[in-house]
Amino acid sequence: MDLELHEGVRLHVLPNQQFKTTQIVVNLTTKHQQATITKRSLLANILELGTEKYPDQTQIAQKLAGMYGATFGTDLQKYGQLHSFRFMMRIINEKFLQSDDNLLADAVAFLAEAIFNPLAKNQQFDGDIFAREKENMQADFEALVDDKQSYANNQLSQLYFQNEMAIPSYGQVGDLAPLDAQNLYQYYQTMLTEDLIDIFVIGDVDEVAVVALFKQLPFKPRPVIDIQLNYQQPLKEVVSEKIEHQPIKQAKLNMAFQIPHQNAPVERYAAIVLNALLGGYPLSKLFVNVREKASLAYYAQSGVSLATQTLTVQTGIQSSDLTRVISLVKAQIEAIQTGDFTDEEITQIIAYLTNSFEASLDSPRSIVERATVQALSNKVTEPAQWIANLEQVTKADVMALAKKIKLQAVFALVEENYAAN
Amino acid sequence: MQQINYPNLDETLYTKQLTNGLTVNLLPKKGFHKTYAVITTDFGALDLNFIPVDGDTMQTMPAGIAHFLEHKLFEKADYDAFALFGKYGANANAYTSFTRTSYLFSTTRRLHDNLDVLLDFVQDPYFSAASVAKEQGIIGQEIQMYADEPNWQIYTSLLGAMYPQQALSQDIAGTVPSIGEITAEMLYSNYRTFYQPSNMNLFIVGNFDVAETLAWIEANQARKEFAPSQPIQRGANVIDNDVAPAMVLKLNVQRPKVAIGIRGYDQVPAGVEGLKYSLAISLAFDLLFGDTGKYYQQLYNDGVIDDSFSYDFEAQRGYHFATISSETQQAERFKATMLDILANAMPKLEAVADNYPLIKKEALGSNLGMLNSLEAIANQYDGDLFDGANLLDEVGLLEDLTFTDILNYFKMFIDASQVTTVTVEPKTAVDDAE
Repeated sequence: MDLELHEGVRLHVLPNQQFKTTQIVVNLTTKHQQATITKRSLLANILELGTEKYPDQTQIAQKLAGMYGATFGTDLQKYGQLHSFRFMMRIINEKFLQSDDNLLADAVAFLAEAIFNPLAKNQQFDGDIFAREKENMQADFEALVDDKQSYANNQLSQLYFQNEMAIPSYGQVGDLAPLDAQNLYQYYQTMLTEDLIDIFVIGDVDEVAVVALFKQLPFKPRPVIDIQLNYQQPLKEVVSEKIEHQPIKQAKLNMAFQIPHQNAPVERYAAIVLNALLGGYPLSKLFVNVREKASLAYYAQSGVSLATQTLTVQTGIQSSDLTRVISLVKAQIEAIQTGDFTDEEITQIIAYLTNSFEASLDSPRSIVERATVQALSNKVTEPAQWIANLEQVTKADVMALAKKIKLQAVFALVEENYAAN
Repeated sequence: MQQINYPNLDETLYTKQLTNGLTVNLLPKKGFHKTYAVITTDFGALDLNFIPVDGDTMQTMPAGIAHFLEHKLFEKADYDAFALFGKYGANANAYTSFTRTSYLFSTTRRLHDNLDVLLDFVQDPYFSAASVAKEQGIIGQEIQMYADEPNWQIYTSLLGAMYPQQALSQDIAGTVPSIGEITAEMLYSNYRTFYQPSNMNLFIVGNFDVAETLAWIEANQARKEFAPSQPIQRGANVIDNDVAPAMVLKLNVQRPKVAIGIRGYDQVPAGVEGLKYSLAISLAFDLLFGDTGKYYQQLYNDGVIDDSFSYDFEAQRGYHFATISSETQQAERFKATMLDILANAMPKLEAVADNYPLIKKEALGSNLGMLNSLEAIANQYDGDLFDGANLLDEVGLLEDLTFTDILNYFKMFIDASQVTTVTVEPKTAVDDAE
């Protein structure tokens, strides 16, 4: 059930009897832009730590523990050109407890406190919490380089987009310094009054009771933001390339391609199948030909973002194999372009993707993700329709789309004494 | 077939030991789309010393052989099991721990076909010299990848400090030289000893019909010949030395990190009581170190810990230990604070008795929440270790657990002489030059 509580404030109730829990997500969405991403990221840390009624982590933790280990937290997601900040709660469904507590009502009250009464005085966040979290976040940014795989992903993103679309959902270190307890608090008030609000409730719940509870949240009406989720950038004539040296044992090679699909089902679903064939399913070309046959990589996989029209390849290799792996990856794409795969493989991939899709309907987290994308794109595809669309994809569709793929960026992280030959 | 009802949880578990010795557990879940099946042998990286079922002398195998065998089992003379699962649309995987090796798939369709693939590839070994040689290259890459991960390094070093000169101090995947010693004949010898159906269990959870699925499994097993079940003779893994002194690692990290290990030197109670013991130790750690307790907030405010702070208790066949770790800019203070709490753990635990009802509610809720996950239910099943007790049983055990139980079990476990630490410091240019 989808209901508009006020203009720009929407409640989505997804009844479900699979789970022992009820999941609540309050999603605040705006444009993904450099001016606000890092603010939202710091807010995600600060707002978990204290409210007027529960002024420190111990009191929050005790309150949640008393609600049978309810979980509460914030999270950030990037959906194409949109940025979502979310509050999340999970409670146990009362029917499995020997208790008379109304956990759902308690949870909504707790969320209201966390969202509308954060620990603040005189229009600014608590100074100690702010200073500490800003420091922690600075350290988190500096530690990003320790995770080589995600470091390489981010570097590739910078090379590919070369604009604010490259900024990760959690922001970037350069935008942190100007933030203070006052301007962040002001921004939070703007967020609360202007962002698009989507509330999701998943579980075995009474819809009428849910509506009554969430109507109590003091969100005000706001105009619905008019921003497309999808993003498309002009094709670059020259491939952006960068090699970075670090003291590492395993090198990373990442490549980004533009996959300019028309936003129509035939190409959208063909793009999903193409990605699986290249490096997104257990018998993909990258897995079989780069990892297994040539023993050249521990991992070799690909991913696709329909919202930004990008296809990316990630590999973990030996530095000395760099040029060989680059040509091998290119060869896999050429093989797809020229039809070097069977109808049988397409059938298998469709079976695999159908399986993964149906399995995702068993995870509350995936159910929220799917519902969020549908709410933000104003496009609902029922599960049966999704599978039917996928089943339409043919070998010819995949070949036709593959011919439009253009390499745009290559990033390699190699060991210090590596020299190109 | 035995039927175990959990009326409060709205769940029913069906269990049966087949004539060939294989234990089968079936847990149907209404409303789910997926079925998750995992077959596990009670054999892992620790089991390097044993008398093969077809021999009479104790053998010592190269480190990493259980994991190597796991990789190789997917590959057959005329097919690859991954490819077959792929054909039927399933997601397949496998993993090896110190005490177990598990093979699994999840699927929303064609359960019968996938179940046959699982049982057939696990019960039909094929190892050749050529395929062993190829695998040595792939696993070599895997070992190197882990070598770049600071968290893995610190965990491995901490195990090494708690269990010096023991099999637990070796990487589950082995080393490039140790896996280089593996031969096809060694793999067969391990296989015949540890992959007997009587040493294995199959756990299926999700969207399926119990009677039909059991019939499929029995028909599959009836098509195969199995050697009579034989007892497994493992060499003893005796822990008889002291923990190693505190050590310092220099790694390519930005922030220092400290990990503290508390080795269990007591005997974990046998059977289901062992699970009760494990739950009690975990609750004791929640009481002492958790975010509802008295130390967490102060340490966080003082910048001694951050949200990377975590603790964990693990009990497996033959060993049990706890770990506490955090990234920290104040490594010495973090160590001193934690070691002081551990040294005075019993009085400190008694002092927080009031917090126990809250902690227990939290643990109950978190346990119930885990029942959303088919993978968690099946993977947490430890077979004979806790006498077949599973995640559903934990809810009842938790409800019955008293604060007195916590004190009694924790007193058995905690021993300041069994504590050691690993500190990770960022590598500097000077370190590199050395």
